[in-house]
Amino acid sequence: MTRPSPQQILEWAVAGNGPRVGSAVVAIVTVESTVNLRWAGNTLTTNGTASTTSTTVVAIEPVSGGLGFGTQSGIVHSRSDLDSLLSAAQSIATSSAPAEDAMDLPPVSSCVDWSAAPVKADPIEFAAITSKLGEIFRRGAASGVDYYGYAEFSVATTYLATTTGTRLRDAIPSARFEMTAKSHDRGRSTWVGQAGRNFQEIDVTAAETECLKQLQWQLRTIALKPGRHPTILSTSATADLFVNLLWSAGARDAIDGSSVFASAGGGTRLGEQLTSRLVTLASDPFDPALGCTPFVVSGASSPLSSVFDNGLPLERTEWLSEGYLKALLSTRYTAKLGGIATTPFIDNVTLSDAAGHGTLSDLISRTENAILLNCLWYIRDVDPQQLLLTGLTRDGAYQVRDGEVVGSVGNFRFNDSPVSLLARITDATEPTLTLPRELGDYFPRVRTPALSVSEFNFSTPSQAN
Amino acid sequence: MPEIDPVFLALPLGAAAAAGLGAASDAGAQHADVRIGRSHEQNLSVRDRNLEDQGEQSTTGMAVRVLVDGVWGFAAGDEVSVDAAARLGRQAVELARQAAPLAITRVELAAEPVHVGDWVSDFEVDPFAIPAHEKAELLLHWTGSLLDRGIQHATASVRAVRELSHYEDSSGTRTTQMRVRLGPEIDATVVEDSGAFDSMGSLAPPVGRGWEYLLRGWDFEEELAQLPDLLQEKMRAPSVEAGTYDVVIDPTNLWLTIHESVGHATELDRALGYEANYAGTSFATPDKLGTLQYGSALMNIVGDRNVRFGLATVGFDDEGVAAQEWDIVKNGTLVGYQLDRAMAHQFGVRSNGCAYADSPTHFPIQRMANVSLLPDPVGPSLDDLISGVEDGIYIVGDRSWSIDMQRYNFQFTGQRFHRIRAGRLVGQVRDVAYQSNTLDFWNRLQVLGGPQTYQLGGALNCGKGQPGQVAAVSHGCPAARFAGINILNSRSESGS
Repeated sequence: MTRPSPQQILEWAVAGNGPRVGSAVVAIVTVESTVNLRWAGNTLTTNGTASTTSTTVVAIEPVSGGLGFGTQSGIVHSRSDLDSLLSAAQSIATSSAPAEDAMDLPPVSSCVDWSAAPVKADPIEFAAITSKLGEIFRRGAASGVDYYGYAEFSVATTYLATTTGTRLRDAIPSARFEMTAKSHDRGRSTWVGQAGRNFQEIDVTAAETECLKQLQWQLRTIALKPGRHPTILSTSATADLFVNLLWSAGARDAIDGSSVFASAGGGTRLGEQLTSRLVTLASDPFDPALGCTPFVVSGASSPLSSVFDNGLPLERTEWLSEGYLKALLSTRYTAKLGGIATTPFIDNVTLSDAAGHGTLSDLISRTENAILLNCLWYIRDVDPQQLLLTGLTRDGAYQVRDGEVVGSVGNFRFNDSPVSLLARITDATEPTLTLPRELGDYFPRVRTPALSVSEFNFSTPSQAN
Repeated sequence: MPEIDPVFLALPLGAAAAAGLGAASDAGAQHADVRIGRSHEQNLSVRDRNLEDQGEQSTTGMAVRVLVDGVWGFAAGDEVSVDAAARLGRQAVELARQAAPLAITRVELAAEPVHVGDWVSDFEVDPFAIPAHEKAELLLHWTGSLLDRGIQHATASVRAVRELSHYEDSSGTRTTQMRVRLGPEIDATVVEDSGAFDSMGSLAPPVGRGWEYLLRGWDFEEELAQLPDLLQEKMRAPSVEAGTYDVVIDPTNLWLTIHESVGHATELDRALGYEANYAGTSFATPDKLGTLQYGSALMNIVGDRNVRFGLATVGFDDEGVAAQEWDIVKNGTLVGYQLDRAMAHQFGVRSNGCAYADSPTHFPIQRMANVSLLPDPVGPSLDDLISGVEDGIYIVGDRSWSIDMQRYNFQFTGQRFHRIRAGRLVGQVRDVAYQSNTLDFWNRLQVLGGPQTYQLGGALNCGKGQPGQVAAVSHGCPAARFAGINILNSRSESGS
């Protein structure tokens, strides 16, 4: 049996001649294709390839008091599979309570590549790195360095159609490479992560060089007491903290008063200056290096998304603009609720500091005294009132003195807030593409500077290495 | 016992598996296994008096995993057919051959008896048989009752999962399973004019049960009646003074500490370094087996894939290994690990059945069993545990959690913290976080509660592996008393 194309599935879904004619239907087909390699202790451990095509149908029906909706997702191999999904979604919608975020669907949108086929990830993508990895493993085994890591190439092709006439398609390729290097006795450990659109953009040799440099830095250990210390956050560490900030910047929670971005007495902190530095946090679906889907795709409603916004065009949004809070993650509904602009979630982010210049090496060379953090791990909310986060330093925490790294200080638990950190930035580099160590699985398209901050709170030491 | 979903059984399970195994063998695989899976997940959420989301996702797929000269190959897709299985079998062998130059260490699997059988988890009412609007009405009733009692904002949600799998391997094992799980969440938030806000949630854990759990498995009405007053008391409570306290930890909080500091620490793949790039390693390395004083002599931890209503309870794991129960910590000493078949072979023992893949398109990796702390058979009640504390804190419910990549340093908060003075609860304190080192913490275990305090907690969303996978797992434990635990004031930590 020939499998229907994504376009065919969507035309069936929105044609209105299914088992029941609904008031409106949004249908989404996502084709995900991925290949991956994983290694540990200088040997490959697992590898694989997978391809799936999932269809999501959102049925919108008039109900007492407004509009109800129901969502069904599944694998569609035939017209009858699609009809089953659609029928189930419509059944849920007609019996549902009215949805709070109900709106008319966005104006009709279309694209020029609607008829294009899904993009497949091919294991050949790894040809550029496998021979280099083999050489790295052999060099590691000979020199007492064990490598662990993961490489993944995936392409998600999304098609979206509505009964109102919208037809949109987008394909987003993602390449991710991570490498942990440990001395054979596991006393020293470091990590490098890279992200891009394909493996031509991944520099495996540079990753090995960086790992070996940091393992060398760890040959000397320096005692550090817990406390508040001047700190350099690498681009990855900065990324993890500020992606957390972005994800916490939901308009709904701020409007309801239960967010660090809520104003005492009601309303939000939009317009408030959070730092005197000219720091900007922005997302742009058309960023040449970080491109992401330029329209809303939502299979579920939540405080951060609405199924009624599907197909809504996205545009560059500044969340922080030169130190001022300028936008919160909003749907059309939460924007109306709070009397603010509609600024939906966008799947990339860039942090920049207008005074930032040079590279991490430059920043180190102009630093008199600081702790340099390679990456952060196990970051969790402690207190949403202040967006206090806890977590660990991981795979490299170093003492910088008089412009040089002079040794390793071991790992620490930190308790600090990216919101209050904004006001404690003392220096920054140019922003560069980076991979957040912890959140890279979910949010790999990030560009940040390395930041110098004052009084980063190292709460207690960790024995982990 | 509920019957296995006939829609799943109508798939060409046997024929596809035979085709996949045959193609893999013909192409040169020495071992092959085929997993065919179908999962249904339903998420409903309400916010205040409004429906927020109701959606259902189903996924069907098939994977062929092979060993060719000790190198893994894995191929998966979303089509379940004889042709697709044969194609995946050949593709997996090809991938294994392509990967061989990078595979220095060859994989071997621990032997396992051949099993043929079906298994269904213990539930009464299939949550997917309940109309969505009835479910939403229950959630709206919960939030409405909180709002009626003066709470400003209330949310409620429930996630229901039904997971089906068919497994066959080249040794002859053939199993078909179905399990159901449910995770309710209810949260109440109070916002004051000053801008101060806080929230408190239900203590009801996710469970391997059906819809009956929400109707008679937990007293939600009683809990919802108490929650507003408890939250208002928390808002007015003094901020804790940081320092060292004796603590009594309720099972609604302690399960998560067990999960992070014992469950993950005793996964052998971590201890051997296989998760070094991602989830992390473990201090509990094999050289310490049988000698490491993990905790006080009161500490007895078991791994268990059989416990009733457990989220990690199965008949067979995703490598065809039968469910088992075993010791991990015995009288305070580390004595066991959680294993899959490759790890077990390295260790020279039979696997205890901890392989799991969260979808048909993911490679099975070692995942956590239900790892539980046994109660003292003649231990005290919760009241008696508290009455033995002169100056301390009683910690209830889980909230924030974080632990380092070798499972030493951890920090947890909770839903509420009751001050104990002279053996009595004297009101809540707030801004509490407890921070410790795993071995130090468990060696400070002073008194274990009795079976009457034992409760199963758990999580639906434990993450591990690359590509990332999630797993559901339960942890049983009694209430317990620990001496001299470091308590932080989270407000001070933030610099406020």
